[in-house]
Amino acid sequence: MSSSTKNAKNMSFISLIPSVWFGVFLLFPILMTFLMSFQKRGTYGGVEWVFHFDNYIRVFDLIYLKIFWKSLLLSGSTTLICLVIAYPLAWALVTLPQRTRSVFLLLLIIPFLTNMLIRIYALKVITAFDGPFIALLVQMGIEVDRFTVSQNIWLVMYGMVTTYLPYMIFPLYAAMDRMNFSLVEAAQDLGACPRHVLFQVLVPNTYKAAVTGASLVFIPCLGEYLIPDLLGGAKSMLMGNLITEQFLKARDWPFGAALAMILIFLLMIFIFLSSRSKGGASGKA
Amino acid sequence: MALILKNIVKKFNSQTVVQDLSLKIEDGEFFSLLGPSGCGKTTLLRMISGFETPDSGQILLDGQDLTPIPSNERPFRMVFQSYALFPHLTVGENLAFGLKIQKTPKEEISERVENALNLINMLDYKNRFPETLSGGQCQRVAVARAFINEPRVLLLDEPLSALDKKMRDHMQTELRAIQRKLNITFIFVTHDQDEAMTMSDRIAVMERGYLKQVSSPHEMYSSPANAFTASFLGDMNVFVHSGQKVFIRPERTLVSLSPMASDLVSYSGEVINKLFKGVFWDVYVRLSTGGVVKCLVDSKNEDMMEDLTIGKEVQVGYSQVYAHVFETE
Repeated sequence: MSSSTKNAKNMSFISLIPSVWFGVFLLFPILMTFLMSFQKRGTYGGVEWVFHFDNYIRVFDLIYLKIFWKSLLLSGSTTLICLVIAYPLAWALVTLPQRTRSVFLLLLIIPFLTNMLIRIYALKVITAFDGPFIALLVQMGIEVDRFTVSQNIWLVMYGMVTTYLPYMIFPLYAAMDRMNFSLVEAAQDLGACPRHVLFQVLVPNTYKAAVTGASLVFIPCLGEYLIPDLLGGAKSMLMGNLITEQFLKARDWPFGAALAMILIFLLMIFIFLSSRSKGGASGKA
Repeated sequence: MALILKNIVKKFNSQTVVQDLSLKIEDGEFFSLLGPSGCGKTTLLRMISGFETPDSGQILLDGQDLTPIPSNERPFRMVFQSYALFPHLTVGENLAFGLKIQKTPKEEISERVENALNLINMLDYKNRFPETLSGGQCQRVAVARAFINEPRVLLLDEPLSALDKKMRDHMQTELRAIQRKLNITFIFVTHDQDEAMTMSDRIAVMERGYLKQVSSPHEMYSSPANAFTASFLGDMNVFVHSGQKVFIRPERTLVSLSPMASDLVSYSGEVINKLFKGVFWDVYVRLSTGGVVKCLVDSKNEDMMEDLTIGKEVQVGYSQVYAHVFETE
């Protein structure tokens, strides 16, 4: 008895480690950022300790609002495209025989586990204005403007979709794999055509997984700065890039902090909405 | 007016699971497909429902060939082994699923759902979700969801196998009662011979893709057509008489401490076990010629059972009238 309580005490010490980790490396920096967002930029970089709201007022400048809107639009459309691609793909996967299925899963997992920087950089090199893709187009006699092909918003979108697609496929695949397949047969038996099966059986039973997938894609997309930076160049400034620039180039840490707080706030709204919609669904099921 | 299967053949890869099978099922019949697992009975049912396509042969309903018609347009409804109730819909919505697809008017849907729930005694459960129901209740909802569309034929794929024994016995009577009330054809797949015997108007016994016999339970029990149905449906004792296998039901096998009447075929043997079953004793006798047979002794016969101790020498016999002899296959 006494030894077990002693063990329990030891265990509680162990469980303290992640809490400390979270406190020191997550909550504390966020608190710092929060406090900094009310300060003033120092003349030579750094921070001047004056409390004011100017940074937040500046955020509502039209230039920045446009960047916010563009980021939301890009993340939203990436999420939507991922959903549209992943849904039939996940269904195709679960209906494959077990052996071919593992081959296809492996084909999805290998690029997923490959370092993102390498993948994106490879894409940048391939589509660069003096890269192999354009060389190929020129060889084939197709006239192109080298600079519109190399760095643009569509390339950014392509990079985003290919990077985050697995985050959408895997939860959907898991949910469909768990689902009792005879539900589909039962629906067909009751006279349902493929459209009915999709919207009245598959979608309601995989809805939660789709919301999970959407969160896993949308949230990192909104803060993404690497992909737009490498594939979009200066043409596509997004929230992530804007924040990075404030800290690293403009040396306006307080304004960067204010932007970061706004981004965190937006993400929290999204997480709240998605968890509430999931809770609603589970309450009904 | 009947469902006719004509020369159905079905292969999976190179293995033939249904072998040139022909069958006629009458309207309003409770018809069972009985056989050990892997005999092709479920495949046959899935071909009738349209989930599988036969490699050759025809499925005819009132003379019309159904083979090119997809499952969602056949006038059949299936009850699945796993029930397959939609977990995101209430009991009432589950029942209404098929009617909504057919664009039945709202008032009519709610009226028919109420009627169906009434028939299965589950009116109070209309707004419950399937996960809150017991196995037997899920079963009844699954059956109701199938018959609410008034199909010509209801296909049931081992629907009782997930229930415990008591519930299963109860559901057997209930299913039979529902079938009588609706007066639609039920095709019932099972590997449980008692279940098939209790419920069916007719039984088709299948073995390794072949149809072995089709007849009423009583006829199949009292005059089996071959050795397989004889031993698959009910208990059978096997005697060897002048080089031939002779099949006798345990209730037709007599046991006695004194010599048998001269018109009976008799063997000597030794009692090796006796089990009290309530109405009867099961008495197991090892024959001197080899093999063990089972005899039933009425438990009112108390004096005799006292004498029939284990190890006792006894006479076992049968009348030729009740003997079944089959050509070797």
